[in-house]
Amino acid sequence: MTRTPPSPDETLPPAGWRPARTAPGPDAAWLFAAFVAVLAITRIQVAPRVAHDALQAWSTIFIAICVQALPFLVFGVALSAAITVLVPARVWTRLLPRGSAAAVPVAGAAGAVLPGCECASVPVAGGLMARGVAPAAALTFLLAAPAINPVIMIATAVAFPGRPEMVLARFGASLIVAVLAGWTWLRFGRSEWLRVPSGPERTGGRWEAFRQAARHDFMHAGGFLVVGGIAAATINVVVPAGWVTGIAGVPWAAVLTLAVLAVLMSICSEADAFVAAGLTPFSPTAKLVFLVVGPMVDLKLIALQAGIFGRSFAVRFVPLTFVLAVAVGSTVGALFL
Amino acid sequence: MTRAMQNLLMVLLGGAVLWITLVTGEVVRYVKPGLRHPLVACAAVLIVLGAAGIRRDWRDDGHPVPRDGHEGHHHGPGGPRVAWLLCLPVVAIFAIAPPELGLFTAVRAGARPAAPPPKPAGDDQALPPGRDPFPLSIGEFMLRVYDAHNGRAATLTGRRVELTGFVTPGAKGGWSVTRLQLNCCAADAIALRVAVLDAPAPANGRWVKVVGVWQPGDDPQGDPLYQMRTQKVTPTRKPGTAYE
Repeated sequence: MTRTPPSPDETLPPAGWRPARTAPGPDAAWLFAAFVAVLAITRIQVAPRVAHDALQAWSTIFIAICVQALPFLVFGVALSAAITVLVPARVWTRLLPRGSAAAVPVAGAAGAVLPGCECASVPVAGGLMARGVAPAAALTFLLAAPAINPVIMIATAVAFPGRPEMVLARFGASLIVAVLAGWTWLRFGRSEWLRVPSGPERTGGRWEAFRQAARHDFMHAGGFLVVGGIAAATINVVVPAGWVTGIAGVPWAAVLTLAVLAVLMSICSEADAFVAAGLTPFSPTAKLVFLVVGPMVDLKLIALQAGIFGRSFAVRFVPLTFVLAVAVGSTVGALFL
Repeated sequence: MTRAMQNLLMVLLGGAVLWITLVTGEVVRYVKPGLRHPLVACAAVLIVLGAAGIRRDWRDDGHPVPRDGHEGHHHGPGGPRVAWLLCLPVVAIFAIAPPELGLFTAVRAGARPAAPPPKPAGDDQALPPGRDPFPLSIGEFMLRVYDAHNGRAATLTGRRVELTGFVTPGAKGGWSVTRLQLNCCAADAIALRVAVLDAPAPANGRWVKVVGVWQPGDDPQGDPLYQMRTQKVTPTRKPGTAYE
């Protein structure tokens, strides 16, 4: 806490329970208390009576996705807030080549170093733009980081034992897609499509700025993560898994199906290699497309990108990355797998 | 959403995560146990951030507080409306408290046999001698069947093994002893099942211990058959960690 030195009575916690104060605290505190009371009552009264199988399975999957993604989300949001607060803008401008066209591949390669999942990379890329990095380079980083970082490569190697070509193909195809998307945006993108996030105003010291940035990003990303969780849980419980096998026999249908499935399932890139390995009826190329598309385009990412960069950005960038990912993924797969 | 509400929501979410990790242990219904520590850390971060915000708001009370940034956003002062959705996981955790995935998910996965999980190469070890029947996870049983079928050491031949799982209906009126396996979290659970021969089916969803011997398929060219000739089926309680 680097704010002004507190007067003695301010150091006494918790300030929140003194009744003399007025809004906004007491209202919120009452609301909070009421919400907790409602939760306690439902826990005792409702929870034991929810016996519907599909609803239970849906809730389990929904909670699982939220809980699984939460540490990565919090880590990513904290990292992005820390970058916003601690790293001065000139570091980025010095680190990346001056020309945007050259900065794009460097930003893509930087994605190979920083571990992080896709939920985290969207706010991180937003933070980079707010710090003056060229949007095309930041977008390349956004696509590359969750797809080719060391954690993902290790996960892929574990999921496909004895098949290092799968790891290499994933790395190569993802990096190519990220760089191509960055260059395409550089050439054809217009600045009015993209809402460059402005970091929250600096009020108070670094800790205050960090806290505000983290809370703001968490509220955005968290809300959209829930949207993705709802969608994925619904698909998981509603779509018959038996449909999958019939489609796997037709090569182009298999590729397109897994590409669309990657979008719909919205699995964290840390986890998708294991899911892909489990899709046994499908060809290696289809699995590769699944692994290339998933970290770059899926429901929760679309929602996140729309939330942070604006809707007019998402409606252009999402189809661009999807087409590139399917094309590059199936080409690399056809050549090397 | 007001700033005060956002801070409270962070505390609430952190509290819900601490509830399922430290108080009830329900977290293993949703994710792998290894995520417990990162979850506790992230809950602590959320609570500290939220509490610091609440404390700050109380201290600034009565003074004009600068609005948060992001003037270009379509959300009002404070935060986006979508953030209200963060209440949903909290409500689901407390008000529904769903159990582990089980029969419903296993049946939905269909009769499609799941591939045996990947494993590090070069570890087709014989079962340690002595214990009879030898307790095996269903996943390991399937791995050993898979290995034997593909020309590696047939480590299950002649050994009585004990599998624990729940009952799912199988093909042609038969049944299987089944366990769900998490790759990452419950969202990608796959059903591992071993067909139980020579025993009448207990009620679907019932947890059982099955003692028996691996029964190889007749066709060495076909798919491996995960099945056992059964000697004893005893009802049991659901184990603490229901997933493999």
